[in-house]
Amino acid sequence: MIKKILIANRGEIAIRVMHTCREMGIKSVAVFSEADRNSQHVRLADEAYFIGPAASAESYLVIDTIIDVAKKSGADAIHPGYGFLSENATFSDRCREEGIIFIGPTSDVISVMGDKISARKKMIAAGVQVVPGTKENIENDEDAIRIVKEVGLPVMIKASAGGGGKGMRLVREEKDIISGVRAAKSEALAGFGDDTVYVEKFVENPHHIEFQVLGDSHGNVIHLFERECSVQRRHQKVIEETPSPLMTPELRAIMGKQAVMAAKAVNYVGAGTVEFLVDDDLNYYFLEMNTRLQVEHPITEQVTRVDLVRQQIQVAAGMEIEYKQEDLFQQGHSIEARVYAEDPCSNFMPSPGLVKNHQAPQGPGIRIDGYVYSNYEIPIHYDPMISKLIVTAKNRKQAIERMKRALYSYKISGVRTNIRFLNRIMESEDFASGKYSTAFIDKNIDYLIQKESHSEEHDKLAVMASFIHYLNNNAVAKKDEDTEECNTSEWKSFGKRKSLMRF
Amino acid sequence: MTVDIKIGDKVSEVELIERKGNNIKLSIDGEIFEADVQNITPNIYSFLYNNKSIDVEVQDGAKNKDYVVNTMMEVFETTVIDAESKYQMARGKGSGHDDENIISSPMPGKVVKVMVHEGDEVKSGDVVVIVSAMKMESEYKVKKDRKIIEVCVNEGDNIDSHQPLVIVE
Repeated sequence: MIKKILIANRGEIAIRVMHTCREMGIKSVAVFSEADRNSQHVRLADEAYFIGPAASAESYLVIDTIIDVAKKSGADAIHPGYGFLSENATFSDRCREEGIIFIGPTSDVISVMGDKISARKKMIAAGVQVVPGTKENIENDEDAIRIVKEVGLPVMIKASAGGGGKGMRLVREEKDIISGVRAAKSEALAGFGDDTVYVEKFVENPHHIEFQVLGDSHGNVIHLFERECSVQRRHQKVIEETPSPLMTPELRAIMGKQAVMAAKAVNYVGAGTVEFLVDDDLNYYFLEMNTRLQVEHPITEQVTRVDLVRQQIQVAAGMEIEYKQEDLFQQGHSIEARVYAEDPCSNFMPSPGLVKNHQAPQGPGIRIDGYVYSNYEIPIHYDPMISKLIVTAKNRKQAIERMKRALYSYKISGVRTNIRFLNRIMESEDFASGKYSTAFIDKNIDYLIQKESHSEEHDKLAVMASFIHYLNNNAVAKKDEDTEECNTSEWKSFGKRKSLMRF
Repeated sequence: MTVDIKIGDKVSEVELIERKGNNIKLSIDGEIFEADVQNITPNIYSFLYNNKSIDVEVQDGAKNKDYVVNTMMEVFETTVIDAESKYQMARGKGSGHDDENIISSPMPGKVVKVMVHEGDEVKSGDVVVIVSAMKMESEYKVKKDRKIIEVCVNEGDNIDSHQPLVIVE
């Protein structure tokens, strides 16, 4: 069994992995850059090693350094979290060569699933339903017109090596086919050094629904139901929930089966996610497979009560999955809101800096996966996500009510956050009714970022509070002057200590 | 004691009438308000106002006597203008750079690119500095045709919020 795990990540996901390590009696090893000595993941780990400058390309992404730390610390496994080295085939191979267990997929799986054309081919061969389109590269203009007409407009031209919305062109009209293909090819060449592009049918305002899967090295693969991830801004998820309000029991059974087929086709071992696009008529299409633990994994854990990280560690160590498909069901409803350090009212500008006060919500049905504390300075170098607020309740309606309650008592000051924006999503009609697609944020943006038409009373309260604080600041300044001369009384030194607490 | 408090574009005259322990009585533009205000931590106040319980947090802002007030989910930026600041405003006119001439970032970050040199003439809408924070780049532009007086930062510098980046004429 694994005794010590190096977590090649930072922030909330590193902490999430450490929680399970501690429960399992496994020692955890943190790594940290120059910007992260004060980060919570360092403080919660059993051991921590410095790995270089703040820029992740010089620290968290340097394979040699991470491997060195693993050896020095005697870690027998590495958990990559998400992002950074989690889907890096070279890293996966390197771990194996060094005799370290990589808690993630093999390089073969990462390569097949990371390349969109090869993933499509593999899925079609396995009988998984993909977006109608072609598997082959578009070589010339005649090809382009013929293939696009076969698939039927509108289409999406996509770079095979692409990702994150780059190297993609939407073509709605016949006259734009050739220019669209050329633009996608040049963007793909510039962005990924490979101008291979292919054609897919464009699904209008799709729902983004993904299935959690787990596989072990004994050939077992199960799914842990869906997550609805349609609330996105620029391909960045903001809210996820499970069950999906769009889902029917029949569709869930079919899509679950398809997700398992997808994972089996690549002999998948570990936790993975199969993403689908679903249209309003409940047609579903395989989109891609993410070969890592997802940011939004907690909502699945909440409704299935499966600790996904524990399963990851156990199957990486060669054990069987602890669950059979028929043991699993979804109980209640869970919603995750991603809290970002950004200002929705100034075009979502990131807002790193000193967190002056951090007070997380408490009470029934709340889970917070975060890493920020009062007086922590959020570095400028990494992701703006500061925590994930996860609520679970009996049903969807109560989960939304619970989320609003939790957001109300979530206090973060010093940096700007999207907490009010998240609350607005909960209050919007489209979200409340469950009838929303990936177009949700664009469609509702005016409502979501609109300034609060606050009551006169709030204005007055802000004025009063500023005034009182101003008076107190003056009094504190005066007290400090006085103490120079007078004999200090206990009360005065208490007052001074209290004022110094602010730094 | 009487001060002006600015919140957005609105300025209110605030006068302290009485303060006894935690009970405070003041007038805002002539209207009387009374509340029981407990100082929970140096920056958090628990208000009992007409027996309604509301927590208000006041943090010091970018400048002296600027405050950031958080109530419920709202954020207010306020400025207290007292006798001292009125005096300084009256004296300080015409000296130093006013905010219009300083280009700064509201957020901390790293300078990715400086597009101008001292003495350059730039056109309205030209980008002068690019700052990156949390994997996102923001461009800072001049609003009018300007001449660059001073470039205060170098590429690769880490900057604080509101730190002057470029000073224009």
